[in-house]
Amino acid sequence: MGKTIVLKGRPAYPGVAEGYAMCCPNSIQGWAGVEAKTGKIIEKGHVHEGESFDGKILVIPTSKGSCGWSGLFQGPLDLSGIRPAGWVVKYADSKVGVAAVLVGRPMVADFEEDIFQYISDNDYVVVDGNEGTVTITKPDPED
Amino acid sequence: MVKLTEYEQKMLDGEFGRYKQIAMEHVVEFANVMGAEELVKISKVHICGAVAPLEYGQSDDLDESFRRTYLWTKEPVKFEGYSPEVYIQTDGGAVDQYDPKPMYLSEELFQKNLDWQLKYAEKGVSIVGSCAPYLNGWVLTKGETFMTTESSNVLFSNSVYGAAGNANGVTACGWAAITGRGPKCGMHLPENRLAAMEVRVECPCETPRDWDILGYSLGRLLINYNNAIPVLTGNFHDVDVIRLKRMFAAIATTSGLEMCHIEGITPEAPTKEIALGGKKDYPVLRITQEDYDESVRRLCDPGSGPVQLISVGCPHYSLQEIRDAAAYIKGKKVHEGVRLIFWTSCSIREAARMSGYLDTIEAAGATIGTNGCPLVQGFACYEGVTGMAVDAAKQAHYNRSWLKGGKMYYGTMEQCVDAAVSGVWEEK
Repeated sequence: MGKTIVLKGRPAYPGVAEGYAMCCPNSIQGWAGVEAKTGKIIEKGHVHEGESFDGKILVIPTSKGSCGWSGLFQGPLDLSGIRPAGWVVKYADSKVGVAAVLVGRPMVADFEEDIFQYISDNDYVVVDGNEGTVTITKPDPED
Repeated sequence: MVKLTEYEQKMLDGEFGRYKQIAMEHVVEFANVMGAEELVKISKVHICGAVAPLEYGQSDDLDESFRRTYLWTKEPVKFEGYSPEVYIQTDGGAVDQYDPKPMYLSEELFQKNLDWQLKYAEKGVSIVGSCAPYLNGWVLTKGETFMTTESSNVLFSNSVYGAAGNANGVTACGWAAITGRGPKCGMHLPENRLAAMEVRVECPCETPRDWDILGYSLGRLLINYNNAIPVLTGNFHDVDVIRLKRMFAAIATTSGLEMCHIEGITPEAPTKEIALGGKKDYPVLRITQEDYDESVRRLCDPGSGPVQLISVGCPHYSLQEIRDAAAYIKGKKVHEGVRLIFWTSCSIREAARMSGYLDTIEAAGATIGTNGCPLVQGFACYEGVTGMAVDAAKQAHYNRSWLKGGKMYYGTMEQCVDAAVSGVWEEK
């Protein structure tokens, strides 16, 4: 086990989820940002272009762009049952709020800290949407 | 937890039927995610109607499509329409109102859309089919509440009308149209409408294209400020709705901003100080020539090359812009194998027909497209396209995802028409 960090935010959607982090410091563009059938990010130049958010703990600053933003998640769930396992959101605007309702998975939001200073891709993250805590375990440097 | 009125509680308890109950359950869940303390009545909703311009939720059965797209339930309820207390008009749709061929769409889809439009209209939806509703019947007063599926309309209606609404999503607009309610949060609370930062505009802001590039630049840089509402300051003159709609569409492409004050222009910003609510300590961001040039570099591929699809009018052109386009294209001829489409609403197309602009445009071999644009009527339209030209940052940005390696060129309406006539985009 590597180092563990706990962050405290607002419990936005209830439940507890865990999984590996997928960090998107520039969010995902709200239209033509995700392939609906697969959940793969298709935004040109995105740090995770070509990767799916299926089963990941999605770490984002907030939404970006179109009012269709929640559709990035509605499509993959409607067509293929694909969705993130949970969410860590620096600031939940109302587009993020709609996505939370559609996806129905735990979310902790509205942090004072810059979450991207603490969470990196492939950290193991436990999102507690009841208590508003996010527990981050860094990969063991010896692994 | 959100507190409900007696009427809202009855709807949640199912007294008005399961259909409204499902929508209210979602509204309450949404309000709780947002930390809202109560709901707000929604006066107007701008939402896609008929066949939805989306990859998902598609079905030959209207009720099933509605459930998957707008209501979000697997329960076999039927589409029962919307609240008669809410005015509802349509955003862009999946296919043109008059001719599906320029976008390579089928007659079958075209007919299905017309059939479904009538069914939505029977339930109280006004068919307008435009992403620029403020040019077509969407007139709001200060403080009036709204929801919209068009992100640039969120910025326009909050900033220019002083109306109140958040950027939500397709389903939230459906829930609001059914229940007449949304969460009271965000732009519905006066303290959230104040500017939190100043943006000093030091780049060019003369032409509509300048405002488009300004908006794209602003949105790019705002992601680092959590979409904090800015007040723009600078040497503004000749500002009009055409420039503002261009800027708002571009801002809403690269950021999630919901309101943007402009000192001396928008109603809640008679001065910078009033827009900021008297704050003394606030971040200042400068938009410079360097930012402007960087945006152009991102939007337009370098060099010259052949083009086959030219799409102009985002947000939908006003009658004034159609007039100017008709004047510029008069006497010219679109190159063989090139499609040039000017996008607007059905009502403006009709006014353009009465004014002779439609004849001029069609005589040149171009078309006026309605009820959408490549972003909502796309996928099929890129067949055989190795080069595409557009006059809007939003189109240049999003179409890249679907163009699959084709060249994207971005310039003025005049450059787009010139490229359509010669069949080649010429780098300036």
